[in-house]
Amino acid sequence: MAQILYRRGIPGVLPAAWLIQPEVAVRARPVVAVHGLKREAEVMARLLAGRADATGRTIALPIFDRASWPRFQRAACPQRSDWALLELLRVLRDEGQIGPGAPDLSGFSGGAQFAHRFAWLYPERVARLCLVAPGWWTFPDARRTHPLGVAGADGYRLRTNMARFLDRDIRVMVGALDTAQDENLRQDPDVMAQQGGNRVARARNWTAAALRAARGLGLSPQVRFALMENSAHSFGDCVANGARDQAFVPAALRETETLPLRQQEQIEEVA
Amino acid sequence: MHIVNMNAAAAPLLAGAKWSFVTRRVRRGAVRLLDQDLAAARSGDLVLAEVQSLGSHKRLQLSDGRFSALYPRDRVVLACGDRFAEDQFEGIAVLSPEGADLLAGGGVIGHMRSRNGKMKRPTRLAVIGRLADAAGRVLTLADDALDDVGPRPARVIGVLGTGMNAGKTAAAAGLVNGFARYGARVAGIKATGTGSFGDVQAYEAAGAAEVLDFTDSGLASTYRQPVAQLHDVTARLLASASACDVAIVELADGVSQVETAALLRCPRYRALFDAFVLAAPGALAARGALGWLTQHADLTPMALTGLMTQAPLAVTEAEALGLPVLSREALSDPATAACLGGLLARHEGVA
Repeated sequence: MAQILYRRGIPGVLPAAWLIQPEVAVRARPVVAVHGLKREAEVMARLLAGRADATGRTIALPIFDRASWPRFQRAACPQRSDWALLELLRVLRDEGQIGPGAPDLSGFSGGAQFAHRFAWLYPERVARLCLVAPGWWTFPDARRTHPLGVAGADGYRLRTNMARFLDRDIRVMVGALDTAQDENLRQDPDVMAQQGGNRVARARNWTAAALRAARGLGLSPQVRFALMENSAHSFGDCVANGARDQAFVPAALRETETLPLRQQEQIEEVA
Repeated sequence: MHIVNMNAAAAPLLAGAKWSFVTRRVRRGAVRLLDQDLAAARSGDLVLAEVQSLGSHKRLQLSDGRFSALYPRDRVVLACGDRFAEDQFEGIAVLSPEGADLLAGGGVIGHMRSRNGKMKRPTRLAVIGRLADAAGRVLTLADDALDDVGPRPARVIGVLGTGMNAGKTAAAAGLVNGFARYGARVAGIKATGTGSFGDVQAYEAAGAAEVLDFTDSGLASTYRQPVAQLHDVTARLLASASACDVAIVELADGVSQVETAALLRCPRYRALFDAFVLAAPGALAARGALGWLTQHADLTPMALTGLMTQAPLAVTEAEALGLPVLSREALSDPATAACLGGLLARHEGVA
C-alpha cells in the first residue's frame, strides 16, 4: 500500500509537500499535483494514493501556504510560486524522493491555473498536463495583454514558448455541474467577455483557442477536452463520479511510446 | 641605450612582492632570473616593478582576489600589456628603463598614450626586470595558459555593448544567475578586454560554476592582438568550460571597438556563439549598435538590455526597435533562462 509522507517546507522559500510513494515503484517520471485555492492538498493526497499504487508512480503535492504564496495560481506572482516549485523539485530529486525527468503536472481549480502557467513558463520542465476546472486562464491570444493573453512585454516569454508549451499532451477537464459563479470565480468584465461566464465555458473556450494556436504553429495538437458527468467544483466529485484520477495521475509512458493524435476527435469534443 | 641580458637572481628582489590578478596562473617556482632587456618586452611578459608615485590606481588587484593598497616602494609583479579604455587610459605594451605606467588595476604595465580628461596620471612604476626561468627565457602569461579540454558548452550566448559602462557585465551576471537558478551549469567568460577581477567576480557571485577570462588563455589584454589569436582564445576558453551546459561570454567595449568589431565581422568567430544580447545605456545607442551589427556582422541580437532598462521611458523607446528589452532582473529570472534556452534550441533545430 502506498505511503503518504509529509515533507516540511521553509516559509517563503520551499513549499511543504505531501509525497505519495507507491508500494512498488516503477522507473517513471513523477507526477506533481497542485491544490486549488482552498489548499486541500491532504484531501487530494488521500484521494490519489490508490493511483500511486496503480501506476507505480511517485506523486508530489506541494502546499503553497496562504501566508507565503497568497496568489500562487499566477505562477510568476510577486512571491514567485514558480520558483518555489522549481526549488521543491530540485530538493526532492537531491533527496532521492523523485526520479529525474520532467514530471507530469496536474492541477485542480487554482492549481490548474498554476499548472498551465508554470508549464508555459518552463516547457522543458513539464511533460503531460492535466488541467481540471481552473477559474480563469491565460489564453494563447497575442491581441490581449498578459495575463489574459500573451501580448505586451510581460507576455514575451509566453509568446516565445508558445509552440513548446502547446506541443504536449494536455487534458482539460471540468465538471458538467461546475457552472456556478462562486466567490472564487473571477468575474470581471474582461474575463467574462473573453473566456465565458463559468468554468465549463472557459475550459471549452481555452481548449478551442489552444487547438487553433497549435495548428497555427504547424503542430499536431494533443489538447483534449472532457466534461465530467455529475461533477460540481469538487476534486472529490471528479474522482468519485468522473474517475478522473486516472487522468490526473496517468499511467507512466514508456520512453518509446508516442502520444495518440486525435485531432478530429478533439475538435468534435470541443465543438 | 639599454642594458642587455644582465640577468640577476630574482629571489631577493621578488621577496615580499605583490602578485597581481593577471599573474594568478603563474607557477612562481619557475622564476629564477630577471631579464633587463626592456626593449624586447612584449605583451604578456611577466614584469617585476616598483611603485614610484601613486596616481589614479591606488590599489592593486591581487592574485587571490583581494585588493591591496599600494605604497611607494611596493614591489609588484605585473604583466606587460596594452590597454583600451575610453574612460581611463589608452596604453601600449612598451617598457622603458625610465619607467612605465600602471595601466590597469588588474596588473597591466605599459606606456600610457592618452587618458580620459577625468583621470589623474597613472601610477608610475620603475621596471626592475622581466621574470625569466633558469635558462634566462622570459616568462609570459601564455606559459601557464589553459589547455584545450573538450567541446564547447551546448549553449553559448554572447553579451555585446554599445561601449564601456553600457551594462554588459550586469547583463552577463544576470544571465549567469538566471541559467544557474534554472538548474544549468553555467560558465561566465570574459573574452576580451584588459585583465581585471571585477567581471569574473561578478559572474562568480551570480552563481557561475566556472569563471574564465582571456588572462586564463595567456593574454594580459586583448587590445592590439590579432583577430586569429583572439578567436583561438575564445575557443580555448569555451573548450575549458566543456563541463558546463551554458556559457555566457562578455565582449569588452562597444561593438565598433577595433578588436570587437573585427571579431564580429568574422563569420568563424560568430559561429562560436548561438546568440547575442546587446547592452545599451539608451535607446538611441541601441539603435546605432543594431544598425552597425546588421550592416557589418549580419547579426540581430535576441534581446536588448543594459543601463537603459532602469529607465521606463528608455525601455518604451527601445521596445519600438522590435526586440524584447530585458532588465538585469528579468535576465536573472529562471523563467527567462527557460525561454532563451528554448529559443536557442529552436534556432538550432531550424539550422
